[in-house]
Amino acid sequence: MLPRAASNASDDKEIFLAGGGLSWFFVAGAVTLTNLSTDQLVGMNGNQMLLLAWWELAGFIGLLLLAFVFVPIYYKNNCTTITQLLEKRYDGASIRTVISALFLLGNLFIYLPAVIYSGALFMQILFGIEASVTTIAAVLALFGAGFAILGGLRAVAVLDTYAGIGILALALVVVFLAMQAIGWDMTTWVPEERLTMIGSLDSPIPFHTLFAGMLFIQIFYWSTNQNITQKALAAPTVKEAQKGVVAAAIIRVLIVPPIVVIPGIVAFKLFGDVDDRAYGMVVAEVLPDWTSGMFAAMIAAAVLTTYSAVMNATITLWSVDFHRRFIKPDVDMRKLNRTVGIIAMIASVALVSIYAGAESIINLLQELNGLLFMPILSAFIAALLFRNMDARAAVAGLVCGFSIYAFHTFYLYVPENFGGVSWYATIGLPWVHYIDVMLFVLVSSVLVALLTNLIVFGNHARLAFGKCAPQLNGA
Amino acid sequence: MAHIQVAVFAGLMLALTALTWRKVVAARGQ
Repeated sequence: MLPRAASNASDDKEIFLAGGGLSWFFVAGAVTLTNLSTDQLVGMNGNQMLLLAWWELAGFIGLLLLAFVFVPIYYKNNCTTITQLLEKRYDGASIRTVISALFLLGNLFIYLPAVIYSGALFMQILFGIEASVTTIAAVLALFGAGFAILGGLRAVAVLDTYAGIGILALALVVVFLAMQAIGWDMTTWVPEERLTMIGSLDSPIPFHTLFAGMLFIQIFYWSTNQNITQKALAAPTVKEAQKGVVAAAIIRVLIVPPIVVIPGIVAFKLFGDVDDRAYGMVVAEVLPDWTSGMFAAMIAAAVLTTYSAVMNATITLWSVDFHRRFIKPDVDMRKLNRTVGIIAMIASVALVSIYAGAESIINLLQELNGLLFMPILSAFIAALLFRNMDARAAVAGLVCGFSIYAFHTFYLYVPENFGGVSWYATIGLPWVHYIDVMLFVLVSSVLVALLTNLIVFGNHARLAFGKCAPQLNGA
Repeated sequence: MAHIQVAVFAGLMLALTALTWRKVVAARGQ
C-alpha cells in the first residue's frame, strides 16, 4: 500500500490530469469537444453567415500558440491549474487566488448552467419532449457530473473522444445532406453579405478585427483558460501534448467550420432568415425520421462532454487553488472531488430553473463573463513578458481592465444613451467594434499593471520574453 | 419521438458510457 502522501499525490494526478497518461488522440478529443456544444451548433448556424467561420479558423492559430508557446511553459512549471503559473511568475500569490476565483465563479454561475440550459432547451423543442427544461437539464447534469466525479479527467477525455467521433461524423452528414438538398449551390438566392469572408464594419466580425483583437481572444480562450488548457496538461510528455493540440487544430480548421456555418446558410436558402431555429429546421428537413434517436444522442453527448469537462476543471480549481491552500492541505482528494462535484451539479441545476424563468439574466451574465477575458489575459502577458512584477500590480491591471470594459458594455455601447448609435459613432469612429474594445482593454490593463508596479511598488519591470526563470525570490 | 427512436437514443448513450468506462478501468488497472 502507498504511504498517505504518495497516495494523495497519485489521486490528485489521476482525478485532475488523468495520471498524466493521456495519449495525443484523447488530448485532441478532449480539447475539441470541451469547446463544441449545442450553443455553438445552434448559435453560430443561427447567424446564417459564412463569416462566422473565422472564429474557428482563428482558433487554429490559437491552438498552435497553445501547442508551441504555452504547453512547454506549463509543463516546465509542472502546473495542474494554469493559475499556478501566475503564482510562480509573480512576487506573491494574490493574483493566483483572484484569477482562480473568477474562473470558478464564471463556471459555477454562468458556464455550467448555460451549457445544460441551452442543451435542454434545444432537445425539448426539437424532439418535442414533454418534460420541463429544468428536468431535462437535471438529467444531463446528473450524467455529466457522474463522469467527472467518478472518473476524473480520464473519463472526461475518453467520453469526449468517443462521443466526438460520432458527433463530428453525424454533423458532417448533416452538412452533406444539407448541401445535397440545395443542389450544392449556396450562391443563388443568398445575399452576398452572408457569403463573404470579408466582414463589413457592421458585420459580426469586421475584417480589421481579425488582425489584433481576434487573435488575443483566441489566445485567452485556448491557452489561458483552465477549462480547455487542463486537457493539454494531461499528456505524459510535452511532445505528446503538442501532437494532441496540433491534431485538435487540424480538426478545428478542416472539420468544425463547415458544421457550424453551412447548415445556417442552407437554412437561409430554404426558409429565409430564421435565426437560432436554423440548425433544427435544416436537420428536420434533411435527416430521415429514423435517425432522430441518433441525432438526439449526438446532441445529448455534445452537452455531456462540455458539461463534464467544465465540471472537472471547476473541481480542480477549487481543490488545488482553494481547499488545499486555505482549508485543509492534506484533504482526501477523492472525497473532496465527490463533494465539490455534487454541490456544483446541484447549483447548476438550481440556476437553470432561475434562468428558465428570466432568460435576460443569462445574457447579462454571459456579457459579464466576457468582461473577464482580456483582464485575465493581461495578467498572463505581464507574467510571461516581464520580470520583477508585483502580483498586486497585476490585480490592479485586472480591476482596471474589468472597469473599462464594463463602462463600454453597459454605457458607451448602449444605443439608447446616444440616440440609437454607440458613443464611438457620435465622435466619428463608427467602426469601433467590441473586438477592438477588447484589444484596448488588454493594452490598458497591461499598462496599468506596469505603471502600478513602478509608481506604487517601486519595481522596475524588465522585458524578458522567453526566459522561464521565476520573477523574484519572495513569492 | 417514437418508442423505437427513444430505444436508439438510450442504446447509443449506454454504449458510449460502456465504452468509456471500459477504457477508464483498463487504464487504471495498468
